[in-house]
Amino acid sequence: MKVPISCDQAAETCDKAQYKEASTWQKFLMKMHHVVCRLCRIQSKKNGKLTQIIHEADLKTLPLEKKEMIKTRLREEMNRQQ
Amino acid sequence: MPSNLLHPNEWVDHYSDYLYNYTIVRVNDHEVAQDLISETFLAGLKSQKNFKGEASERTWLISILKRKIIDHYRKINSRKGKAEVRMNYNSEDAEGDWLEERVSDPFDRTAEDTMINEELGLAILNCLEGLNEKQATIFKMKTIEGFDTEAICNEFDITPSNLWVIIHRARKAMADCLEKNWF
Repeated sequence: MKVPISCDQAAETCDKAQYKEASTWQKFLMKMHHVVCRLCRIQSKKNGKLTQIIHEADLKTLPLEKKEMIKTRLREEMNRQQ
Repeated sequence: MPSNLLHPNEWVDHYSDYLYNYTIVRVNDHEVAQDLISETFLAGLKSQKNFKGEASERTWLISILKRKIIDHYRKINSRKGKAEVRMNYNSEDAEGDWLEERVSDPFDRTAEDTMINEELGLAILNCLEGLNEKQATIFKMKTIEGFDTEAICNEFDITPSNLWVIIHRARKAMADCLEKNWF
């Protein structure tokens, strides 16, 4: 069977699919690729698992403005210490 | 000679998200968590001389943060003693319902779930530290903060193709790291 897309293209589609940015056609081609490429199939499964656990972990990031505020306070404190 | 050194200029970029996730599950309040992190960094800066360099910078900051969290609860508990407990039962019929309200909500997270999620979150952030700075920032923006592709490309002045290459490398490194440490 002829592989419809390359491994690199399949990997890019797989990444985009994790962020819901792959089109149905791209996903179809990727699945076709996976039928014949075992390595990409394994990699894709790992990629999906990564998305799942990041979702489960429900990670938070400190808001950017808060980070800037803390940096400013730290800089002021460092200047005072010098 | 100490094997680890302090770099306060880099604390916020390197450790604030880790400390934030560590704190949020313990205090369950974003504002309080943010204040505690800010206080932790300032306390770290003031007690730099006490750092012996035996532990990593992050471990040392976590030990300061732990004390800050304990202090926070001490303050709350001392206030609680003075507070009046109010129950909002308006009718006599509703009075017996309070026992049911104390039964755990099956849709609520159990303590075990919270603990596993916290460990998982910290394992993910640990692996993020293994990426280079640009990869880590872009991965975080795209995956955790949910920025769209265009916004990130504008911010870093890169093309969408560049972005997907960076994301691919970051995701691969993250998956490999988590496979070793978590899966």
